[in-house]
Amino acid sequence: MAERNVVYQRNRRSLNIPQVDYANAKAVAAGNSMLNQSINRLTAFMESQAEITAQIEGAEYGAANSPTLEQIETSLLTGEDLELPGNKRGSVFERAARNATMEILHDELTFKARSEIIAASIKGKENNLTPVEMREKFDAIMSGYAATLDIEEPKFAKRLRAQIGIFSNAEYKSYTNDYVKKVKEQKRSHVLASVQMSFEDVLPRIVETGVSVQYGNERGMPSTKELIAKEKVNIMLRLQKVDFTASKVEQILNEFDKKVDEYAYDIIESHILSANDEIMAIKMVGEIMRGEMPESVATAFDLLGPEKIQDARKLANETLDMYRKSAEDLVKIKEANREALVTDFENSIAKAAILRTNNFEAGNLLFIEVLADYEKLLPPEVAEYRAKMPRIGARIVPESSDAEVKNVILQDLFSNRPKFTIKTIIDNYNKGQLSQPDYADFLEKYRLRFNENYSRALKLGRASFDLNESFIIINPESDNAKRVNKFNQFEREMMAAREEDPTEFDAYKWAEQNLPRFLNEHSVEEIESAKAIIDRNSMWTETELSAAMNGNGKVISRDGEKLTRDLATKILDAQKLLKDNK
Amino acid sequence: MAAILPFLKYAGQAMSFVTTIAQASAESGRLRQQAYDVKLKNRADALAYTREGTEKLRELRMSIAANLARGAAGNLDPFAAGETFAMLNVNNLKQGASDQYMARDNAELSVLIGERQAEQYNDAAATTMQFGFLSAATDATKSAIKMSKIEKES
Repeated sequence: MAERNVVYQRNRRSLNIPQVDYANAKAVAAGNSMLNQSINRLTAFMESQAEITAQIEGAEYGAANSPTLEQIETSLLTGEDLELPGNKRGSVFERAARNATMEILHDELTFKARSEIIAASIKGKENNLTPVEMREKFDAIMSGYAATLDIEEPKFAKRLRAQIGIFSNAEYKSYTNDYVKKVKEQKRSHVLASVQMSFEDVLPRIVETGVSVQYGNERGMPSTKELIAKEKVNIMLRLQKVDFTASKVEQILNEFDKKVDEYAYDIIESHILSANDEIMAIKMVGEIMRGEMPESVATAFDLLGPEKIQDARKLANETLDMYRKSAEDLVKIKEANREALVTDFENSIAKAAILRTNNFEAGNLLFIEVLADYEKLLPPEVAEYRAKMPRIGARIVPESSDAEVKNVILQDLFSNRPKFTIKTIIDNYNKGQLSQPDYADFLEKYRLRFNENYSRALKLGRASFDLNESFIIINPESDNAKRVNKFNQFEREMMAAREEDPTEFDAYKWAEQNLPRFLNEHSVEEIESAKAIIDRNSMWTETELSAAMNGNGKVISRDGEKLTRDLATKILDAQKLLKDNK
Repeated sequence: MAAILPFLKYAGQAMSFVTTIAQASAESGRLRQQAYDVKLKNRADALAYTREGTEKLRELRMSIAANLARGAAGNLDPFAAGETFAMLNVNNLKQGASDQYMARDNAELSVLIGERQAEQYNDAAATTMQFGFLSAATDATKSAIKMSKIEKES
């Protein structure tokens, strides 16, 4: 078969126009977009900066112009609205200003409310308000402060209310705790007081009922022991009611038991001490030992219980000893009192007698008064003086004292324990045996003998002048007479010193200070005599002096003569001083 | 440490600026390379179209020759008008010419569009660079303002 005609095979391709990617436009768009974003960010940043600045400035403005504490206080008192800077619906600046103001106001109000709550709490404690009353007060304070912001700034008002509420709750809790504690303490102290009262008043009365167990059983009545047990239970219940600890309750009950024992012992003691005399007291103790005691003592033994019977018997014996001792003491006290009274009486009489020497009428008058004062206290002594009264008016005063009487009185005065009294001196004066000056001198001296301090000073003086023994002065030139003269001089000066300030004068102290002066004074004759002894014995150096010393180291004895070491040393020192000066 | 803090602060800003420019520069370089590539590709496409047209012409010549040969073999005047094969060849010629023109147009279009695309990429590269600079400047300005605020505060 012949081939068919060849037909040109058409290309199926059409006109191919390649797609153009408009990259530049895209780049421009992307760039613009990026730039736009950058600029937007920059703008946003600038805006945020501006906002921050506005906020800061607003806050500063608000803080600077916020109401002062005084304005807040005035507003709270008068109820007027406070002028607040800024506006919560205004610009950023205004909002920031208002916010800052509100923060400050909030702080101020919180501070004020807290202060008021604390003050109310303190006042409440002072006035003893109940927690409910306190709660009302706290709520009133909280509402008052928060209400100031309720309309203008409810958000801040809520916050304020919450914060004050937290604080007031804490304060309320503390107040309630304190209140409860206080009430509890009060109850406890009331119970303790009542227990104390029971110890002091009720318990002794119950013990005094004195119904022994045996007596009570016989008559079907409660014994003292049962009553005491009931009282103990009663106290225990009272203590438990106010939540005392077990140890505290135990302690108080132990105290109760001790008190009961104490009262029981008291009964036994009082029973014995009530005896009229020692025989009766011994009899009472004997009865107790035999168990034949009265009802009240038997009750005391009941209360003490069998384990303390020995103690009670011992106490009975001790009380008997005490009874004896107190009886003796009483006698002694009575005697001492009487002696003191007699001394006072004689002192007063002496004063009157001294007054009589100067002013006879006034002295007589004082006599009468003194006798009247002591009439009831010392009847025999006063009667004795009264008997002499007629003679008191008749005065016979010699020019000079009777030498013998005066000597005897002087001896008595120089003894450590004078036997005579003022009465003796007055008697002698009335008998006309003493001159006026001697009488006054002796009266004063005897009167001062009764002064303990003065008496001690004189004792010291006598010891210092070696006048401890009584002696009779026959030769006025004798050593004894010289020492007596010195002692008299010492006493005269002491009396003169006393005259300057009789109330504050301390005789013993004065004697201590001045005695060396009297003891070391040597007469010219003494010194001359001493010098002669030293010359004769050639004792012109310390060594020679020491060699001449006797065993006691105080007295140098040569050729039958005596010289004190003290005087010899003084003479040597004086000689040496003279030599040096030359 | 405290002594080098100010230096670090400014170094950071400078680095950020340089990095932004470098990023834009890289993007710009990439776009320029793409422009070059697209130009090459479209030239290659144009060449392919030209080859295709040439191939089509060769096919046309073969089909005309075959028809002429077949006519001559059938005792027909191969160049006589009005004959079937002559008419076929005229038709073949028309279609072949159409394909040839199509191929040539495609090649021209490929070159032209390639040029245009390359221009776009080049322009985009320039634009990227410009915006890179602008963006870096904007960021630097913001950083400078921020820094000045911080310094004022401190």
